[in-house]
Amino acid sequence: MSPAGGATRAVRTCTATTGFFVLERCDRNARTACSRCSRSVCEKHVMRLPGDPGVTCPECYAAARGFITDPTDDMWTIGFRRSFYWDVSSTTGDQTFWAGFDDFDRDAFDQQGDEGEWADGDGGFDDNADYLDS
Amino acid sequence: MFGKKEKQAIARLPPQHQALLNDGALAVTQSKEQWAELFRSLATPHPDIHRHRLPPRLMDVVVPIIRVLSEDASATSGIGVRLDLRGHEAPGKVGPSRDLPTHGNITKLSEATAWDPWFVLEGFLKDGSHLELSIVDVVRTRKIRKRSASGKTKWKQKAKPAQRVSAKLTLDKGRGIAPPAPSPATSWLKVAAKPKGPRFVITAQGKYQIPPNPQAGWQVNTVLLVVAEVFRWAAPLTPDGDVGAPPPMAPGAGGVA
Repeated sequence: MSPAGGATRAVRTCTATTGFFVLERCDRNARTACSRCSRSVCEKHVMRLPGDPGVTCPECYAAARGFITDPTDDMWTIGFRRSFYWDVSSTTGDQTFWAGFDDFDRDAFDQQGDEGEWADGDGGFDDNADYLDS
Repeated sequence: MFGKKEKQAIARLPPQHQALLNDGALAVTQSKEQWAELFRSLATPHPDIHRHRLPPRLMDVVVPIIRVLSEDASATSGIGVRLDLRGHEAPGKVGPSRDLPTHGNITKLSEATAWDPWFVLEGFLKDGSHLELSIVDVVRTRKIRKRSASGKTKWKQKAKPAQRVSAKLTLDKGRGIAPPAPSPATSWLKVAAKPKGPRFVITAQGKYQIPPNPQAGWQVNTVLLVVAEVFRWAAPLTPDGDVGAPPPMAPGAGGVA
């Protein structure tokens, strides 16, 4: 419900993880949500798995494809990033290194949890739902 | 004319791809999109090109490292790379030979050291820091002349390769450092963090012998472990991308491991 005299609108932003050592979120305006983890994703980060009608985020797409060994594959860095962080954390005993990556990814889900309406309905967004009433 | 078809096929490739095929070397600064375009060209099969082969270590070491670091590259500046994949025996890389004392049935012993800086990368990252990475192979080669009991003379050559990896991260203004707890896994690295004006400069250097039969991915993981170490020393950014305030250790405090 929008209050009379001017509603404030919250922009839903893409929460896809970008970068390798410098982890950031995409932060573009979201267009839809991942059908698997329900994080919101922008047009650039919408992925489609063969035979799956729903859209996925890059992380879920890479996880569904399995570990990719070809470094020229577009999705190689996502799978390699996860395995590399895990390896470094294991070999150095530095749990904060892995935890930093894990927290970063988990933050995206926590944000969705805070805004419960994101999981309502059919679990996806239509193309006209760029903005949410706050 | 022999090889005409192949030359024409090479001429149609991007100039960087041509340089790698013809010279085994490349020095270029370009955006991450241009690097991605080059990698697509490298991955595409070219059935007309048979005699010119891509140099070793290009697809299994260089491409993964540049792909990883281009994920963090600034959108407004390029990634500069100087590659020389001709090998440590290429002209100009081998130093002068010197004779060593002989003993027993060894009648001549000479030693030469090759210095092969085959990968150098530098670029600005999206968090405002600047990264430099270099990989140098140092190969000691010994030529031995032996005389056997029957009087036969034999020549033998031994090479002992070592590698030096160095990463240098110059942090954005005001960003501090947060040295991690010491770990045996990175104890072979020499890490230092020093202030330079308003910025911290973190360097990590490692030297090790190259194993004779390394596992797949060993080289990439080892190099990226060195790079990861300088990032582990940098104070984490706040979630909105700003430098942490106050930093765990502000510029001026210094720190060396």
